[in-house]
Amino acid sequence: MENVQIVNQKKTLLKKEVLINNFSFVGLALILILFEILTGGQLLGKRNVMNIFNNFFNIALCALMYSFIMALGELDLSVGATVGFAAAVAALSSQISIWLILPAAIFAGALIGCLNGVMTAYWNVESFIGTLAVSFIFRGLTTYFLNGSVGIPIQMRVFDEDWVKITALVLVAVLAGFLYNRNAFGRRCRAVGASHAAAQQSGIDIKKTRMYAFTLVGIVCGLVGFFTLVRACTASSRTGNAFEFDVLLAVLFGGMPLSGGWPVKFRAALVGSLAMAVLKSGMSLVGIDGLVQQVVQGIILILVVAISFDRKNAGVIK
Amino acid sequence: MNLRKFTAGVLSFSLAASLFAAVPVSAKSEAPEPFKIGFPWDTANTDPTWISIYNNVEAVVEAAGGELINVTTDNSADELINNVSELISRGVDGILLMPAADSMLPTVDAMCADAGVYWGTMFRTISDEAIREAMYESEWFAGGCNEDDEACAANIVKSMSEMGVTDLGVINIAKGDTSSDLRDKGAAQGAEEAGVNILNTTYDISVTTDMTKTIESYIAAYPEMNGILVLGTYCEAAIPTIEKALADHDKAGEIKVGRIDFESELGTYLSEDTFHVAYGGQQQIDPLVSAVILVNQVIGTPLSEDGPTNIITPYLEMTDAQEAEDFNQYFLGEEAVYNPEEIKDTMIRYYNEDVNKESVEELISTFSIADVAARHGETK
Repeated sequence: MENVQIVNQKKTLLKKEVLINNFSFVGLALILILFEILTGGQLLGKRNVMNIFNNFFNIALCALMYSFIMALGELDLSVGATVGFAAAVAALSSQISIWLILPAAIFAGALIGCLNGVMTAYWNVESFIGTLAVSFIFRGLTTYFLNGSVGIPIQMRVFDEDWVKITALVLVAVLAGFLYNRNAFGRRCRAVGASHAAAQQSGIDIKKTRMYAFTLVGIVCGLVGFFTLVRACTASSRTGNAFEFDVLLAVLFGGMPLSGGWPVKFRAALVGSLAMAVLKSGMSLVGIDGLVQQVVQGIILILVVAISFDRKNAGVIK
Repeated sequence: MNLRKFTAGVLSFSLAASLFAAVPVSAKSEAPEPFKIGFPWDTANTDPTWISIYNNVEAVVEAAGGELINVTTDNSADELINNVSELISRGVDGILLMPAADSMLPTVDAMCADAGVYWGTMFRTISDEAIREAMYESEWFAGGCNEDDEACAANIVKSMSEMGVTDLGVINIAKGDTSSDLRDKGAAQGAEEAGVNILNTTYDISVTTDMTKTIESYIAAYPEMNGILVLGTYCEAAIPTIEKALADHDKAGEIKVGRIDFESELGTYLSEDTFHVAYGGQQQIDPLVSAVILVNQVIGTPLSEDGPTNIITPYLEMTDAQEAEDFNQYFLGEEAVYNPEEIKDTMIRYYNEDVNKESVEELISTFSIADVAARHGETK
């Protein structure tokens, strides 16, 4: 009799675990169904799907590489400023040659990512504080260099075509997925996030691992800066404004725990970004005003973090 | 008998025809074809001025028989581009926006042209000559309103100079914003003409804590400062925040304070003589007239036959508490500065064919706080 009870309890726990592990998919499905009904089928209508994709694209691009930072148990609050700075540098470079736009954006992003990596890995600055400081520095520099706003030729909108963006997203997703799941680098990131001491004793170069992760995020932010620039054909001091919160919200919504380590799943970046894009589009289509949208996003964030936080390992990590 | 019947018939028909003829073709009682106007606006902002901007646009669209579709925005260039894309996908017939920069406009025009959607601007002129020329040649650009930001900034600096201000700390919207740049230029010109020294300008303050820090820094860094001018800001409750910071340092009333753009708390500080001059009122009339330009274009009765319509809306000056009280009551309430009947009769060409660019310009030339109070005071 006791054995049956134990088996039943185990089954219930297993079901709960399965639900928690997949709650991002459940959440996404619920949001999709809810807003599809509320909008009378408009949400997944032909015209709105590309709209959702446009909302999804930049966030997903960045969130894919942000997985490495999350796996390390770190944060990067400079991604918005990096996008803005990369767009600014690219826009200014276009005045020399339009062929410089993409390399300039990626170089600028890589530079900031590298700086973040050096700070957190070699100077032992907390990533939360360090990247926040970097964010202020590069927001200021963006405003200084742009001295207003700088436009690029409208012909560059050719890079805003859907097929270009889909190709770029697929390439970045394949590369990030390979690095995360099939390469030692991804495993190192998760090992460092799970336990610094254990990772160090296993011979992992923690400093290099952190450095590479932040640099990868910087590079992809440069790419986001490029796509943001070619979409609006203008860079201003507000380009990339609050982007860091969009990305953070997306990865958390996808179920990435802030505590880092092995529970950080790569798929969460895509699922979370998609859920965010669908949520935003759905709320807008239903006609929910901006104030309520913020409240809804805030409540969802609290719920998601409460569900996804890895309490079992929290004591060990912190 | 048949002849009499025939004659009676002819007379009846003639009478009926003359009756129909006597009714002006323009005075249509039925609404035009249903239409939708897209409006990216930050509806999360609870500042009464921001709410009134939305109310004035909505009043025009609904008075003309249309539906207003809002998407939330932070008014940055990249976000506005996404907003335009979203509104187009939602099947709007026209889009009204406040551009973040001239350089984003060709993109907006290209997107709208591809989708066959009219668009218009509010609050902002197009300073870049090449872009301005290209936009005014576009068949999808309806036009828009703006104020003479440069002259306004120059005038308010001169007004403050007449109050005895010699050293001025300035706060402005983010650089790159067309109005911000023009107001900077005007303030510099006014300062030069009036012999005022601009000590420093801080840009893009959006929260009250940053506003407090800026004012405290100014007080500490510039003991000679005897004036603070807010050329523009997206910070809510800017003046109460500034007044609090000044009061905390025993400077309230000693340092003259002025701002462009009215806000709801000005009356209190004007009566306490701790706030001194404001130029504004355009925040209600500008979006209203901008919406009028776009709606007329979308309905098919544009205000000008020869291309996009540009109307300069007037700045109003506020220097006493009674004006501030009237402003709060008649400009920041739920009702627009022109009610639906006034909008239909005097601003929508579909309902009155005498309406055109000149008639609207003439109408708003008499626009003032007293004018709105007089028109709407009786109806309330």
